[in-house]
Amino acid sequence: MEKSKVKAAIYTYVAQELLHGNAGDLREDTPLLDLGVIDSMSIQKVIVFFESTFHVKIPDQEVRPENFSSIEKMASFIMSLNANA
Amino acid sequence: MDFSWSDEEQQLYERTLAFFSHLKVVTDKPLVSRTSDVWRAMGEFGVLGVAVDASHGGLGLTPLQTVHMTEAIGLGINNFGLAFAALAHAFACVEPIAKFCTPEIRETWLPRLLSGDAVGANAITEAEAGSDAFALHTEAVRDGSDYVISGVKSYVSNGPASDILLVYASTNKNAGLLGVSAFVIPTNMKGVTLGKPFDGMGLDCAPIGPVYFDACRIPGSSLLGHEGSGAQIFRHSMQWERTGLFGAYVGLAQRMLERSIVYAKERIQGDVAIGKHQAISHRIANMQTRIESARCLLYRAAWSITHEDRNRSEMLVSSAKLHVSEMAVSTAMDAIAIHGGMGCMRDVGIECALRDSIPSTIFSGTSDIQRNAIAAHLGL
Repeated sequence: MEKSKVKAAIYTYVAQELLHGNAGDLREDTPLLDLGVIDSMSIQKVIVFFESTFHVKIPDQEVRPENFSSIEKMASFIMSLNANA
Repeated sequence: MDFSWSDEEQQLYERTLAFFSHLKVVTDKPLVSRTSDVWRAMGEFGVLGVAVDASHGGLGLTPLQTVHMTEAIGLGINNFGLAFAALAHAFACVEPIAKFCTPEIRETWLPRLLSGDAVGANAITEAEAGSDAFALHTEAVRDGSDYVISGVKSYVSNGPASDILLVYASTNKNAGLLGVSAFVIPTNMKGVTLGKPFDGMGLDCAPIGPVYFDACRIPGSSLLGHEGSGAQIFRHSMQWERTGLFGAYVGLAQRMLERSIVYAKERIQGDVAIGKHQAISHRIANMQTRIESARCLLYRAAWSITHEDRNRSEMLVSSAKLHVSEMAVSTAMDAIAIHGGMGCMRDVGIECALRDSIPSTIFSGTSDIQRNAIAAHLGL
């Protein structure tokens, strides 16, 4: 899968599921952790979404700020998991 | 999936039931304390390290074996608050310390925590965090090779009696829950103040209270895992607590059922035992059905931890925690209804099951938080 498509899928998910359609000026570098868009409840939804949509396994030790802080970072993380699969 | 027990597992169940049924609980002194004979006896029996790997001195039971054992605790013990305190110590503090801490901390603290020479507590909850457990105000700031911790924790189970705390604090405010880290902090450190226990509902001998950190300086070796792994460590410990501790609630409900059956056979009303009246026998039949379904779901969830992927097991564990806690409340209510006015009398030992059960729908994540987690796993 191309990174642009991964990014688009994550953008749509964040906009619709986490921001309930109120995406406003959501950008690829919007700090989702800092803004609380991803919190203790939504992180699990995001992991389930990643694993079911991109057919990857997210190891516990990879649930780190640098992999989930923005749409851009999440897309890069998914691409790295695919590359190592 | 096979929930039959080996001879060894069944013997452990029987020994546990006998130990807790005969445990002499005298409440004129604190039970949850390193100076308590009962606390040390539980350590010697192995309960305080039930989930700790045998290579570290624990019993090394699987989650499924653990649930079987804690069910015997809940069935046998006549002071459920003591079971709650011991299992909170074992699952939310001792197990994660054994698994994630440095060898130095493990060697210093683990033998004391396992033997009952120390009381452990898990300090995560904060008054303003609400349903987002990781929206923490307590901060751990790096200063050279140390961390300096400041903040307030509320509702810390065992907190007022604790010797060591597993504390969750933010090390990176910009990273939300992924900026939370876990630390092991002895309570005799300068800057730590243990609050007085709250006068709460049920779980009578289990001290629950606030803990205050005022620029408490701790060495960097106090960090569990790495910076930012606090959420992961907490989720791990909750898998243990939401199964192991809730095995004890299945045992408590079973005790209420057994007492209700005995009473329904003995109590005569209109020349027949009240158990011959359908209003009573159907209520008891419902109790039996609810307990057995909760037990099966709990076994299923505990089995899942070691046999299925994390997402699946977390959903099942949340389902089990939700179902067992609400089953415990319903069963206690039914037991009171069957015993009538006598069931409301403190010295009869029925009404305390309701007071002990209601908090189980709140701690370890409320029933609605479990529903949120289940829905999230279903993609909702």
